[in-house]
Amino acid sequence: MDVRLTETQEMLKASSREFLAESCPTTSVREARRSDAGFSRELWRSMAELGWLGLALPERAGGSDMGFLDLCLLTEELGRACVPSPFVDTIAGCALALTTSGREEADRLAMTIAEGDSIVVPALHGARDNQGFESLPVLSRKGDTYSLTGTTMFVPFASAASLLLCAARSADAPERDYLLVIPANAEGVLCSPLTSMGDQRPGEVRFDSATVHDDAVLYEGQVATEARERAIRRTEVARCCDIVGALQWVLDDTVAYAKERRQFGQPIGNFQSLQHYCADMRIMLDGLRTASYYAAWQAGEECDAERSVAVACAYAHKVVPTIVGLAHQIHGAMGATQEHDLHLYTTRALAPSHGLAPLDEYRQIVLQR
Amino acid sequence: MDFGFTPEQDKLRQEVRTFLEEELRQGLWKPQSDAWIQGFDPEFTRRIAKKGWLGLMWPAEYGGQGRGYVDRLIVTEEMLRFGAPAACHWFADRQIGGSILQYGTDSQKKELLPRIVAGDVFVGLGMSEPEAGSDLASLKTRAEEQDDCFLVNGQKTWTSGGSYINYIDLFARTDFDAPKHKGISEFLVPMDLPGISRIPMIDITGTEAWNDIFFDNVRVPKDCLIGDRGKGFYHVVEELAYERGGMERLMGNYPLYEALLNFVRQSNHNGAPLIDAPGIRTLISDLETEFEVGRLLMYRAAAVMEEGRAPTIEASISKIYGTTFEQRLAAASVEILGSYGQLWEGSVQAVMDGLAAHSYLASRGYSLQAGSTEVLKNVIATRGLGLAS
Repeated sequence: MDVRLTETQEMLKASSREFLAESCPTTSVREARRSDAGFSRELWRSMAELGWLGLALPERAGGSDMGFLDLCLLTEELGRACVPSPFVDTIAGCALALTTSGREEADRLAMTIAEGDSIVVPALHGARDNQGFESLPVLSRKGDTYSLTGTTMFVPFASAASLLLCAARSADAPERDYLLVIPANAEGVLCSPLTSMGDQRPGEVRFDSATVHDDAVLYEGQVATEARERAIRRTEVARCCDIVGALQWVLDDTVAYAKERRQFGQPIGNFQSLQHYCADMRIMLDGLRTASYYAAWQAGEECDAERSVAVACAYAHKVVPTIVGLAHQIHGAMGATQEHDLHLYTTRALAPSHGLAPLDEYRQIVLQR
Repeated sequence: MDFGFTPEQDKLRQEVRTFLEEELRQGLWKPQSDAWIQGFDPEFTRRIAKKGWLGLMWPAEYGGQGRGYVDRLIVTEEMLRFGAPAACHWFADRQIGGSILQYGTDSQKKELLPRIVAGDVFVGLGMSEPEAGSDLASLKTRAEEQDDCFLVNGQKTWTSGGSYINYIDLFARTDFDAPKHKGISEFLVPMDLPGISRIPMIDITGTEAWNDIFFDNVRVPKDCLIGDRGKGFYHVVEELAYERGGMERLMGNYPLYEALLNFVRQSNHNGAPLIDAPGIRTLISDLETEFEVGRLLMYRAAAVMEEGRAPTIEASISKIYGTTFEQRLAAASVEILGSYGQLWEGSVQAVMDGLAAHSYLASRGYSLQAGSTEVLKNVIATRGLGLAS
């Protein structure tokens, strides 16, 4: 056991931090959030040039074959800089799901992701029916092709995506799952942006008899079920690491503010009650960081990471609102304005409420030990 | 970064488990909460010693195995998991031996370390005094240097180990004009010296948990001084980092945890298994999450020690986190059991061997001993985050 970062990991973190400080200050974050796409395509292009998008992909798909944990450490820096982008979903979620299929065309697609030419986002969650059951879109045979009908929810950056990695279920055998790729602009695909407090530009994507060719189906049957779960799990771990990065900024900024803001003739950070708030933030953040790194390590080691991912996500649900709440309390009313950068991070870090499953789903997994 | 255990570490854990299972099977002791600090069983300690699990990290020349902090954490985790009576050797193995190794003279190392490894040295802590608790540096016990000894007068309190300890790790003032942090020295004092007396203190559960230790003109030989004169407080600060970062801060009442997990799975309430009740599921699942995160924090602290760094901040975080968990566990148990939660072991209708009632009370001290939660938050805020002290 060794909790130190390797030299390569240290370098990756330091260089990405430096690059993002330069190329994505919070003025750029604000600008990107106001843009149509919800992120900067120029920055995405730079990230491709730096090799970030293919970091954990195999070399045959144009990647550098680094580990999943390395990818998560980079994600942490993107969270720390509050960079709006589909990185977590496209890179940690979709790209890796493509290359594990062993299909040449999937590798080629992954390569275009690594090069920044295509953005594939996950459409892995079906809308809930009136009984509260999540129902995936239905795939049915129609001559030489398939036809896809149904609704997926919370598809991140749906309006800016070129392709969707979509989960579906067989029309004939409801237990049979599929994982397929479909162009976002294909006929019968309708994307409606949702308006949310977060920065992930979620969309509702409806499929109305959209045509799916045979070679677009990457996985079928049990392997599709597993590939979908793995993609969701990887996205969740990467999201936790992103949140860790965002919260590190929140803690650093809050401590800096407490040292600088003066009341009653001294910095408010001299008061023990505020010092203890800061210590509480650090304790919870260290817990979340360690749990997230552990889950990322397990997810990368091909061990069954389901429970450790659920632990990290459940813990995130519990502590993130508290950490953010303490930061706001210490910032006073300034933190409640849009003038101060804290709100960018508040909406980013509250991702458990808009980037993870509901807490109770993780609770049930944690109990299955 | 690597969270994996080596095959040797997996083997060590399995050996300890097998040994403890066999001890349990033979009925040599019963799993107890707080057994690491209140379970006194010299024979158990000697059996552990024979297995080579004391002083595991010390060099072979002193009887150790030269293994790492993570290895030791594996051994202690299993001891705690089984609620084994490890109190006789706990302090010597955890911190006193390390202090001797770091600051002691060659002859102290040669004399004392092999005896700790053999399971013959039971050490109590002589740190707190009635007027020096969180503010330890203001301690008043005097050790006046004379020609042939230090003459010690004063009172120590909250010393665990009762009548079993044969040494006390004493912190006393040797320089009376120096600033308060700089006038303190560390001694390892045999308890059978003339002039040392003790009075037991009964804790909230009715157990003899501590002793007041009185020193009345005790002539302490000069070779009992550990390290340099006047450096004692700095030893404490370092020792405390090791004292705080251990698994006993998370798993002190683990037997209760195991009993509770079994209880909710095996008991029915109004005809349905307790664990199927949504409120109980929520409570138990949240405890499980907190426990897993805590366990990782403990291993993190050990990994930091393995790097050769004193885990001042990491151990403070571990201790606050862990003791908060232990107290929440005790509270949750009572919450789940309702009126049955108040029953002592041996009572008619007692459930879970009365562990809930015991822990509900005993856990009050967890957030106070070895640095109160508030003092530790001060450490994190000032030394970890750079806020003004």
